[in-house]
Amino acid sequence: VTEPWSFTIASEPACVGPLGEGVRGACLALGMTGDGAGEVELAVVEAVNNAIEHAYAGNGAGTVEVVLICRQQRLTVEVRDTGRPMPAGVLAEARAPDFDPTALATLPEGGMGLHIVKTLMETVSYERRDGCNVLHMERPLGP
Amino acid sequence: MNTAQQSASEVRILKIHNKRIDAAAAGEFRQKLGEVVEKGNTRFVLDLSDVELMDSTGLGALVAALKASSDAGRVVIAGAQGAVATLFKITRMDQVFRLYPTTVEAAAAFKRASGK
Repeated sequence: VTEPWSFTIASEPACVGPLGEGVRGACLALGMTGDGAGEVELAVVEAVNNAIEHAYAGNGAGTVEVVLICRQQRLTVEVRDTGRPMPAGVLAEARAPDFDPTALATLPEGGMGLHIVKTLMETVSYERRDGCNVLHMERPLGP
Repeated sequence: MNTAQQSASEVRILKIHNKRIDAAAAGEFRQKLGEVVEKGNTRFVLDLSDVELMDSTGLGALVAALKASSDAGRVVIAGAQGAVATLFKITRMDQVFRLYPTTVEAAAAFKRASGK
């Protein structure tokens, strides 16, 4: 078990970039490949975007904490916020966008974040813990 | 948003110099793409070789630009790598935007498709 990394940001989109770069750097330091670290960064960015947009309704008044823990060659990432909880069933129902690639007008411009998180991480769960909303994600360190 | 445009015959190449196209940059990215389309460049190659991370808000801006380019035009992607290429695949957007390793290959494919 390594010491956990913890990052806390204001719930502002401008804060997500430095957070993502910190997460990528931590993953590289743990021995992940560049592609693997980039995928974890993308999953975390999508999860944090979701908290900023939905838990805090974009008002910038809250904080989002990201914690990374490495244990037995597995990476655990938690994204924690104290905003409005995600409605039941939203995570379970998130799936790949369904569209006809040739029908331009039907192409989605959003609503893909949780599907991206679920695809890039091996396990994803959500719970309310000690007054926080916690999105818990895991994947192996290796490919 | 740091960009550069270069015209190879009739195909416009738009290179993004930013490392990230995320929620903080998506608005400016959408505006920049909109300006390119409004100038009549409905066919262009978007060079993402310098981009290390694009999230779903950046992708959404790109989809909006494609819709604005109309059926006659297409946007193709060059140089997407790592998590940027993965984003296109896992959202199935690689079926909408053709991805090529380089701008040369992307521009050549454009010309082949249009018979020029």
